[in-house]
Amino acid sequence: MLHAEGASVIGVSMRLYATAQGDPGKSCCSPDDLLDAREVATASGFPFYVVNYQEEFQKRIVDYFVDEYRRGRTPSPCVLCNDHLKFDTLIDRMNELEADSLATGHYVRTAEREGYTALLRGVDRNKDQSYFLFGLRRELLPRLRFPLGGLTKAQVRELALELKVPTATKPESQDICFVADGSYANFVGERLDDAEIVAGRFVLAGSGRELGLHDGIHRFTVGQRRGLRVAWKEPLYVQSIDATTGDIVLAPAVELGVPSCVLERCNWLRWEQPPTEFECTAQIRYRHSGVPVRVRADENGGAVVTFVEPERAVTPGQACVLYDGDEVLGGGWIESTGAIGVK
Amino acid sequence: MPASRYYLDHNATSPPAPAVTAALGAFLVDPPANAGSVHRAGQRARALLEGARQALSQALDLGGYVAFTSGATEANNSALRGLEYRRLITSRLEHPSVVATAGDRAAAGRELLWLGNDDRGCLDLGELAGVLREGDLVSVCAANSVLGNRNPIDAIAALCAERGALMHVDAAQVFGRFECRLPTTISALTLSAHKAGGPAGIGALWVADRRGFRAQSVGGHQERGVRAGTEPVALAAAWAALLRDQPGARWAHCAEIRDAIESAVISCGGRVLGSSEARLPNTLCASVPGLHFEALVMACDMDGLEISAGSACTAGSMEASPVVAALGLRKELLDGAFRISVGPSNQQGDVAEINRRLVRVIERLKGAQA
Repeated sequence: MLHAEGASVIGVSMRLYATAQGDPGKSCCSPDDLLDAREVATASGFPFYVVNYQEEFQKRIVDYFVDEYRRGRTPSPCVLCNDHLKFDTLIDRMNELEADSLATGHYVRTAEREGYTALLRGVDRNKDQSYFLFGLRRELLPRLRFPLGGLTKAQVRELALELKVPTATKPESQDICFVADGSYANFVGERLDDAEIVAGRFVLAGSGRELGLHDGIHRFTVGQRRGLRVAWKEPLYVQSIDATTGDIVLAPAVELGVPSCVLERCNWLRWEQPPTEFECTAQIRYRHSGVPVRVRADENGGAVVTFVEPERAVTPGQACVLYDGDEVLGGGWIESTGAIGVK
Repeated sequence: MPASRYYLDHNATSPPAPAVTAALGAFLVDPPANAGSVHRAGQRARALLEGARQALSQALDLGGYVAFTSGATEANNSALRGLEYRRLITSRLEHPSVVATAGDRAAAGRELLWLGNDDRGCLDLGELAGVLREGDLVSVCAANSVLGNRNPIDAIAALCAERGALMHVDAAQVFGRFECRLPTTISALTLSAHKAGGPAGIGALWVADRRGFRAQSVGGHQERGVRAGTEPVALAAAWAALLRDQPGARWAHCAEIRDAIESAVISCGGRVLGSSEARLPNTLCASVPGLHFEALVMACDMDGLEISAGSACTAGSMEASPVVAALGLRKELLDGAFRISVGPSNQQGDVAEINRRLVRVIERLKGAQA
C-alpha cells in the first residue's frame, strides 16, 4: 500500500524460529512463507530482506513462555515479541538503513494528539491488535506506520486482489506462532525436565477439600473449565494455581470474580507518567471485551486496577491493557489478583 | 538509490561469459533434439553432448568418466551416495550439500568422522594422518566458497593413495576459474559450470571408475548408468564453449581488485577471515567487529553493492555461515562475517567507487551502533 502511494519501501521479514524445509507450517516463518513474502516484494518492485532473529526469539520469547507456565502463570508471548523484536531489534535495523519509519501490518492506528502520538484500536474490532502493542516505547510512535489499521480484514483482502498481491488469498496466521499443533501444554511439557513438572492436587475453594490429582500445573490456566476431569455437583473453574505446592484451586463460577489486580512493569503511552488515579476500560486478555476500572498508578511501574464489578479469569502473566475509548493509555503485566471470592 | 550497481558475489554465481551467452542464444533458436533419439536430429544432439564431454575431459586430463548433472550440489550428493566406502571423513567447512549428505549417510548407519580445523579454516592434516584407514572416503573441496581457502589436496590425495582410501574433491569454486592441478589418484570430482561463467543448471561428476558406482537416479541408461535423465545438451555445449575459450584468463585480474577492497576493509577496522597463505584470489571473507552482517549486507545492497553473508540461503534469509561458525571465532567476529567475491564483470576502474561506498556504509553503521 505504501509502495503504491509512492513511498520508498524496504520489505523485511523476520525469521523467528526454524521450521523444517518442506513443512508447510501454519504461520509465517517457514521457508515457503518467506518465499511468499519475497514474491510480494518482487512483484511490487521493492527490495526485500529476511532478517534472522531465531536466537533472540528463543531467548526472549520461547524461554519466557515456558518459564511462565513453569511458574503457574499464563504468558502472553506476542506482546513481548512486539516489544523486544519487532519494535526493538528491528528498529535498530531501520536506523542503520536510515529509514524514516517502520510500517507493520498490525490492525491498529495512530493519531496525532496535542503533544503526543496516540495508539488507537484498529477499525476492525474483530482484528484489533492494540492489546499486543501496549508495551511500545512511546517515543517510537511518531515513527510507526500501520497502513492496515483503518481497514477491515475483508477490505485488506480486496485491496490485495486489486494490487495483485500474489498472496491475496493466503490463509491468515493465528494463535501463538511457534506452537505447531495448538497444544501449549505439550509444547511446554516437552521443554521441561521431569523434575520441573509440578504435579499436584485439585482442591475446592473455601473447604480445601481434595477433588483429584493432576499431572502438571503447566497444563492449566486461571478461568479454565474444560479438561479438569473432576466430578462435582456444579461446573468448576480454575481459580488460582500455586506453583510451590502444586495445588490448583477450583471454584464454581459465582466465586471466580476478583475485585482487583496488581500490575507490574507498566508502560504508558498517553503520558510519560500517568495521573495517580484515573478511570478507564481494562482489557485483561486478547479476546476480552473490556470492563470499567479505576486505576491507581505509582511511580515505579506498578499499578492497582480495581474492577467496578468483580471480574472473572484475571490471570497472572497476562497483560492488562487500559483504554480510553479506542485509545491505548498503557498497561502492565498482571502480577497477582485481589482477595478472591467476592461476589 | 545509486544508478550503478556492483555485483560482488561471484562465488554464488558468476554471470555467463560472452561465449556462453552466444551459444545459449543460438540453441534457443535452434534447440538440440534428445541425444537418445535414433534419428539424425538425435544423432546431432548426441554429437554435441559427447563433444562437450570431451571438452571437459580434456580440461581435466584425468581419464575416467565425466557425467553431467544438474549442478555441483547433485554431483556432491551422488558422489557421497554412489561411491563404495566404509567410512566417510569430511569437515564442517564443506558445502552444505556435502555436510547434509554426510549427515544423512551417518543417520543411515554409515560411519562418519568430522575432521577438525583451526580458526583460519585450515584442516588438521595431522589428525587425518592419524585416523585414515583403507576403505575410507575423504571428501574435501579444492577451495572453500566462503573463506576462499585452498585445501592441500595434493598432500591429502597422496595420503589417501598411500592408505588405500578413496578421495572425492569438490572443485566447484576452482574449475574454469583458477589454476588447480588435480591429483591423478582421486576417485571422484565435482564440477560446476555457473560459478565460472558457464550456464546455471549444469555441473558434472567425474568418476575415475564408473563400474560399481551406484546411480542416484535410475530409469534410463543416460550418462552410461551414472545418472538417469535426459541430458541437457544445450547447457553442456554452452559450457564447453566456455572451456574452449581460455576461461581462466577472464579471472586473471581478480586478485588486484580483491586486494584493493581488502585494504579498504582493513582500514575500517575489518579483520580478514580464512587462511593467510592459500586463498582464492577473488575471495574476501571479513568481519568488522561490532557490525552485524545482516545490517551490512542490507545497507550495501541499498547502496548498490551486491555482497553476501557467506552463502546464499533458502528464501534469501541470512544466517551466519556454518563455515564461519566452524572456525570457532568469538561471537562478535562471527556475527560480522561477510563475503565479497569478485569476478570477470568487475573492472579495475570500479574499485575506487566500490571502496568509497563500502567505507561509507561501514563507517555509517559503526556510527549507528555507537
